Amino acid sequence: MKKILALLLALTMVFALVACGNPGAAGTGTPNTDTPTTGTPGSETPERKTGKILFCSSLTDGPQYEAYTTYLDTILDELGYTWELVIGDPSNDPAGNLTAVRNAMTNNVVGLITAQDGGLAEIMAEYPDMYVVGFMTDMAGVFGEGGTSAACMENDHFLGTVGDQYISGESLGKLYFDIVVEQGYQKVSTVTFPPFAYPNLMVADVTFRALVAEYNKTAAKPIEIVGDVEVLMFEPLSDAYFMDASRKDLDAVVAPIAGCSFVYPTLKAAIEAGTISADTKLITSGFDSDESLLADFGGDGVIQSIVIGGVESIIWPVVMLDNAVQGKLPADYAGPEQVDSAIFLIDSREDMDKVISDSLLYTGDAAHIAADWNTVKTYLTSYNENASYAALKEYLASDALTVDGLK
Amino acid sequence: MKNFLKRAVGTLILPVLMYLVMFLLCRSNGQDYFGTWTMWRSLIADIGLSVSCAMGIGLQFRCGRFDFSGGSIMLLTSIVAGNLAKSMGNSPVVLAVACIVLCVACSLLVGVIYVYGRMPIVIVTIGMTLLFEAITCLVYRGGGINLVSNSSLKVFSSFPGVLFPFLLAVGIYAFYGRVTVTGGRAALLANNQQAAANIGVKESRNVLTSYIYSGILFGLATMIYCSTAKLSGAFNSLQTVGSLFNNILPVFVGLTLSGACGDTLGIVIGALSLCMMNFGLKAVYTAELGSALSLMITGVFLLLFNFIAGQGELFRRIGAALTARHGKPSERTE
Repeated sequence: MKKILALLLALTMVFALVACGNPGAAGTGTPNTDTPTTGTPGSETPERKTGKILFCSSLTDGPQYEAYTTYLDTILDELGYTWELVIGDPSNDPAGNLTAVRNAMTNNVVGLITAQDGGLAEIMAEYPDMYVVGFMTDMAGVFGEGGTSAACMENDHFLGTVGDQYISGESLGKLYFDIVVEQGYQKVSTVTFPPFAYPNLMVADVTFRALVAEYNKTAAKPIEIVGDVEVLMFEPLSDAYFMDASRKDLDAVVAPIAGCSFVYPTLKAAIEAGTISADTKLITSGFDSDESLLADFGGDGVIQSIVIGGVESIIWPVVMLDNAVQGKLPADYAGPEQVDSAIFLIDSREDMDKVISDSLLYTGDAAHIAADWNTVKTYLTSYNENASYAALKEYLASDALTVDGLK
Repeated sequence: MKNFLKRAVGTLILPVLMYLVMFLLCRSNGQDYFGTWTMWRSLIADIGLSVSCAMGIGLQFRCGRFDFSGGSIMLLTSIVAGNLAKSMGNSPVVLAVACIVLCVACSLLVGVIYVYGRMPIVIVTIGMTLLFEAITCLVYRGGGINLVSNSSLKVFSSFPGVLFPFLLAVGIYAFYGRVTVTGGRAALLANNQQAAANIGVKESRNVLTSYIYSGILFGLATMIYCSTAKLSGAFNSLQTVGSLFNNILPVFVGLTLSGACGDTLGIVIGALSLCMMNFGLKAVYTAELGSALSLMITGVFLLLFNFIAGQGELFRRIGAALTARHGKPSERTE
């Protein structure tokens, strides 16, 4: 009996391993062992190199993650690539990211889109033929002078990085300052993530405070910032934060982090418990499709503004990678640089309704892709001889990928 | 009377001292909300989660079985039960029932494999942890669950709703240990397995029953846990074990205090003390320092606590020596 049971278990394990290793069609997490090939995925292009693209993600769920996967499924399929998700190290540890890429590596991999920048120089040293593009890597300090991955900027297979919102912390701080002034808040506090992980957020906070100080010199109604910035160690804001008497009557909490998850629950609980004013609002980043959270947006709701990097900024790494793989980088491309993503600012109920009904971000539906296949083709040198790098950057900075650009 | 006082002091000295130390620390740093009703109202959810989870682990631990799978069972159950409750009109009843049913099923599965697989408990529970964690990445497309802003389903992690799973967990743990035959037999098995088997205790049935009880306790803990934070699938192996280790700390304190007040109250006292310490440290220090200090001080505190608790014989000798040196008045006159 035991032997039969052992045999059955062994067979189950073998079948499970075989099933897991079955190569399938292009799409999320699908391993493919084909070697790089040339083919004709579109009718316009006679000869194209294809292969597999790895997407090293810092997210594993949520509407942004779903939007990325939908976009890659749709556009890379048109281009004839397969792609595979690589779950990066949760702490962005260099060794962990390298191991993750190693585990996903097959001989047909032609490119890597990475939202994890830890260990990127080591990854590129180990796979020198693979083209790499950063995506939603918001750390100017990482790729900038003296940064841990600054060496990548000298590598001709590194095609640059598109930030999570602004590359510059100063621009981010200015954006939040503008929102506070526009909303007329006079008493705010600030919350951020630790500078060792997000140095630009600390720059943003310093900038925000400097702008407020400058504003207060001439303002009829000055803005008070209560206390120092609260640094969250990737844990939700402590309940103790709102028990401090100085924060009982805040107008708003300014949190350019994933505030829907890290700040909102504590803020909402404090309001419901009567610990703080019911009029305290949240200006934050990070998008969540939870219905009750969306219902608490705009108008009398707690969340008044959400800023995120436009999800369809992923057009940039896709275009850069394909141009490089085809050996046809645009003539005006001078080398890797850090560029801002599209700024997706949702600051009214109308905006949110538009996002819910028309955006890839909320629906995850390929029918709502703004940077669609026809748009992508205009920036691909293999489809459009006049495609230029400047035009791609201009498109990324335009309204096309923002809330205003939603059709 | 003297014995009662001795026990009462032994039970209360830890939380009272902890309260006073944290109270003074907070007040001296200008945080005057420590000890207020607002703090207790907020802290009760942490205490409830810590106690119910610790009791789920402690129930197996005191029988000599260290169950690594508790964290993964709670995560998997949170994701499935949370999504189920959301899809059924945000019903707290569905959430509560699903949490308990799923946790009992998962826990019982661990027990069945342990009993009939005849493998060491560490191998079984780590193996099942990996399995449950893998499933968390597959169910609902690895999307996890986020109930932090769901006021209906957050009812069990906020006051007063949290009292339901909290008090029920305490009641069930006490009932299992003090009233049920299974609990008594489990103690016999833990003390002397061979002797217990010789007098007719059926270990297999006892183990399986204990896993049903620990499943219920994990279910109650999950009712609180599932809405405390955004929960993602466990994409890294054994990542749930960390949360398990955090919640086992009150068990160590509880078992040490069991001589004074029994392990049920001991675990509650342990969780209360540790939660007060965490709250106080995080209130005083910035988040970066608070988290690090909290971890460090928790480790040092437990080390010292268990060291001091283990020196009972030494204290008795010192006491006896002091008594002998000074002698009783009547003895001195002689």
